[in-house]
Amino acid sequence: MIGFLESRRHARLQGLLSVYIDGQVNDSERARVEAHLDGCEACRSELTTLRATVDLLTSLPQIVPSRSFALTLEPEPVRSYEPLMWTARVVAPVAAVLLVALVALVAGDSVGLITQRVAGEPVVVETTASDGGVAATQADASAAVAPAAAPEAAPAPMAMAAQAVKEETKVAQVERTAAAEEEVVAEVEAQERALPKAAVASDTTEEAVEQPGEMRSLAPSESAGEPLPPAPVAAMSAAADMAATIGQRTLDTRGSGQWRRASTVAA
Amino acid sequence: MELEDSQLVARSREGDLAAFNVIVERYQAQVLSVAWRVVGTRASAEDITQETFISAYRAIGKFRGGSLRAWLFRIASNLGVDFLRSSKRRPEDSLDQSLEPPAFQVASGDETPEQAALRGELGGEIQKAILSLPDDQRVALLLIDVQGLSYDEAAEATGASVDTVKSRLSRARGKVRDILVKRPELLPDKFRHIG
Repeated sequence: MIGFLESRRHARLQGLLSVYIDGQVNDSERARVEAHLDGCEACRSELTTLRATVDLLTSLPQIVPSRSFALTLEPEPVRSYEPLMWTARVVAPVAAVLLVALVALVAGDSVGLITQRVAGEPVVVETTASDGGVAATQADASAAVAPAAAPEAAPAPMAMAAQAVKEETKVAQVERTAAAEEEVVAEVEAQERALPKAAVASDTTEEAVEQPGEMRSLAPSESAGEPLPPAPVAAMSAAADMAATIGQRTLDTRGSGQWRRASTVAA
Repeated sequence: MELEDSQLVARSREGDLAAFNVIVERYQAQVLSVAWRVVGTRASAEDITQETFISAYRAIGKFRGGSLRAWLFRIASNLGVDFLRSSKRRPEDSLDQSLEPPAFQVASGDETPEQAALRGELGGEIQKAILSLPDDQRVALLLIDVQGLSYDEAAEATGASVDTVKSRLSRARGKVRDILVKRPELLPDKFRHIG
């Protein structure tokens, strides 16, 4: 037990030897160290070799540089590509807006939306004609009227009846035209329901500016028309990447080397 | 008239590159020495030295006073340790290069060829011993024993407490001593006259 305690005391005082050499111990510690050294040959030996080691280390020569490390240019490579980045930040939103407009235009053209809104009436005529419903009704009405109107000596009631049939036919025609218009409206609504997809694509454009890879995959699949060329966004991103690369190269050529990216600056 | 560090720092903060270059000239040998003894190779030490001054100039506005030398050593040692970690190698891996740095000239006075040879070999052994230390112990030993910083300055430079610095330094000195005593023929007499 006594040996264990003595061993611990010995180790603790050995730990003070380095500080003792530098004179960084307080009075109490100094007294304990010196009292221990008087009776401990091993610690005296250790103190001697440790002090000699410190003497060697403190006498190591300073390295004389083979060149000056003075800075000849202001070492702010960020500025070298910052104007390009600033340009990209200004141009990117404008390009995004233009892209949104382009998406809307192409999507609208693909479903004929713009044509309908500019000349909506011809669409109704075209649709009803192709439907054939009104034309058939008119033919039926003519067929119904013709036998009644054929006899020239037809009495007035017959003529009145024929007129009534014509009026009913007109009412039916108006109703069927209204029905046809409702069908057209429904169709237009269906087409407009398809539009939000294009709008979604447009809404994500700003994100896509930051992520050109997503933009390239989004535009052709979401818009119903021709695949949109993402060239403006991609080109800007490429320009920004290139500018960043130039900036990095500027850093590298100033002597930071390949380890530059992992280094941190103490502040 | 030679300007104080604090005056040069103040001018550098205003963008005076010439004033900052006075700082560079004043401390580049010490920074290079720290960098070389941290990483062990000439080329890397020069890169780190250059990067140290570039980083210092950029961050001069964040320097809050105190020891400018300790601040520069902190940047250099951090860059050196980062370099070693990013390259995933120990500094002694490139020991052969470090033993004979052809581009370096040792700042010493006249000496005989034999003395120069012994000094060179002993210097190589010391450098090998330093490079074998753990990063934190190596930095503590370099800052205090080689560059002459006080305990407080070293604590400031490493961001550690004074007690931690004392502990690291004590261990580092003991390890270097243990390595050197294996080459008694290179050591001065005071190493051999023990007791």
